Amino acid sequence: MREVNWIALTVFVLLFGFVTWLGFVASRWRRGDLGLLHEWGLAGRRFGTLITWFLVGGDLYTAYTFVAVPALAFGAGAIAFFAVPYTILVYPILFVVFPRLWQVSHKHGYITLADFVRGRFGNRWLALAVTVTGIVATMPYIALQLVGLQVVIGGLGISGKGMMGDVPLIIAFLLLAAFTYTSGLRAPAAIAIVKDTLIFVTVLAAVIVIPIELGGYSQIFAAVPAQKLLLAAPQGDTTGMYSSYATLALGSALALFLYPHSVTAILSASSGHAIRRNAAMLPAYSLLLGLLALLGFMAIAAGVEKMPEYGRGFMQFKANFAVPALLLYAFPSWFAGVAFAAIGIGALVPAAIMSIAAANLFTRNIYREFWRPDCSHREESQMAKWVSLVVKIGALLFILAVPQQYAIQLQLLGGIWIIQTLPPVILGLYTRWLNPWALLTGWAAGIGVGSIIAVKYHFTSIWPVVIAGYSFPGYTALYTLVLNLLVAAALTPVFNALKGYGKDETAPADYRA
Amino acid sequence: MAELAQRDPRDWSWWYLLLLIPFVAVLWVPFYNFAEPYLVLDRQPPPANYVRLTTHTAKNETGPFKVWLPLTKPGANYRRWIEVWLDGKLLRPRRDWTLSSPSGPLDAIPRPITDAEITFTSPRTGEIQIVADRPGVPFFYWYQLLWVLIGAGLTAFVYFMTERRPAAARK
Repeated sequence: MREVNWIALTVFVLLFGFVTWLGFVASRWRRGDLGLLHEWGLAGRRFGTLITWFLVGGDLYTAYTFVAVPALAFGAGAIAFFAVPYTILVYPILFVVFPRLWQVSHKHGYITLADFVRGRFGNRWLALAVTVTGIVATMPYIALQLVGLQVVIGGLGISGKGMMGDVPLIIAFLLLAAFTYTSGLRAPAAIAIVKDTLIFVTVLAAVIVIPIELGGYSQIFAAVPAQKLLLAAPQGDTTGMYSSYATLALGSALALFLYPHSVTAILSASSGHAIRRNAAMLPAYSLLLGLLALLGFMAIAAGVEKMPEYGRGFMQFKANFAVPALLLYAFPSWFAGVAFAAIGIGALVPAAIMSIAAANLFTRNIYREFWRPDCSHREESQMAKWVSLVVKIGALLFILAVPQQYAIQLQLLGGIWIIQTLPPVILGLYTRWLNPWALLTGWAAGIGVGSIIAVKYHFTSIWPVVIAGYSFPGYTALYTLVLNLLVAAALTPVFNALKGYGKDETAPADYRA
Repeated sequence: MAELAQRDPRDWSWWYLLLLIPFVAVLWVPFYNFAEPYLVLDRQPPPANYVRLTTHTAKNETGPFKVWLPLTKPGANYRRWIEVWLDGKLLRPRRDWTLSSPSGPLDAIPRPITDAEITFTSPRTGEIQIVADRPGVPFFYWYQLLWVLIGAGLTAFVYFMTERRPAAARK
């Protein structure tokens, strides 16, 4: 590996130290009784529009996003840009659907999606399915944040053999675990303000300075190989990459706010209005993401892959090293340190929220529901704190002990799994027509078939559906969601005749402001 | 109270249909999977190592100067086919220079045109750089980035249209 970049490392450590301090003192911010789960896990639902904007932005646009999207553009070209339509589509969904979830959750004290499903459908097994899906889909996501952190630590020139090489990562995650335990959701919310500011500064500097250094955007796009510049037009009886691109964008948009960490961030808002305002304001991050994807093309134009000083970084991290190499190439060391800190802190914020979300799910919908129905609020909160530690340690061990490729494959499976919770959650916000047992069967069908397809097609996201000799390659998650819905709709009359519905503890007025 | 809540227009509004527009705009991929029209954000002289570059030196003359680059676009409107720089300054097509071919009219001769040449409209002196195929940002990219802004604007518009109604209804 390259020599340690001491200037960049010093800036990185100073900023990392600052946000760690911020994470601990955040426990006194908008002070509440952290012995209660809704205070520890949702910060008392008191965040206004601006803090919610920072928190949701810090939560959704993760370190892995900052590394992997430009890396995909660097390696595969135009397909990486699906992240842009994906984030264009997600906010109208947030605007229309999720204020209803906030209202009903506020009214009934729901902390997780599974709480809502339990209350809406009166079926603990359907709620358990939503819980397990959420936890299992979140775990590899946390692990992937560590990948982002590993890449920037490598970019700083820190390396070592065996355990010694992992020491910086272990220290970073121990600090993360400690301040999350102490401050709950207040910690990532406070840190998100710093992280998002650093990210905006870094990306704006990058999209202005680097094109000037490289001779302008015309020069950058001229350097991109023609086959990477656009999606390959379909040939013959197939919709080719067109349907792949569109379904990836739509499926990802439908799935995003089903992830527990996304829901935790939006349920911590002070009102449904704050969520609606954020649906109009959050696209600022989408613009950022689109510009960020262009960094992959800038890395191609700069030719960093062929520069000997970055050779070992590319050997170790492959295309994921494109952005760190570009930042080191284009900026002075001190600013590279700022940019690396932005990405590194960008791992802490979502990882903290994900671990809190998984802890909330376990505590509310497994521990309390199945083991200790009579547990006190304090016991519930304490259990969530312990579980958040276990989740983070599990993610750390996973990334240290298991090849990185498995985390990526599990995260892909997580996308297929989490979208299967859409019918009880999103449709459930509008109707109880679907029988909970039919929903559970549809969920199982979607999960089972989706997993088999993913394994059979070697963990690629795309599955070619062939109808009458015409092929429609598309996002497996979206196709299996259709299967899930068909099964649920077809079996609803059957289960209505056999078992009937559970009790709905919500009323129509609970969903409105 | 429950009746009032049920009439709340934020629960459903026809304005919400506006939010479907971005879905159509970005999911219909064949519409925007094109490089042209390019968005030109910056015009800088080409670097010396640019692959599609021809250089000449002019000494108070109008030319013609050979392009030496194959031109493939149809028609006769050559404004966007090439850039011509003189001592680092971008010259304007038609006003400062014209494009022609000894083989015949531009719209009638077969592609690629391999013998195109430029002629200045008035005598010039300096280093000439002729650049072909130097696009700006392809349509595929700027179209989607533009829809981020349009989508945010639509959502904000729908927010204001649906948030104001309850106040009006109360009056």
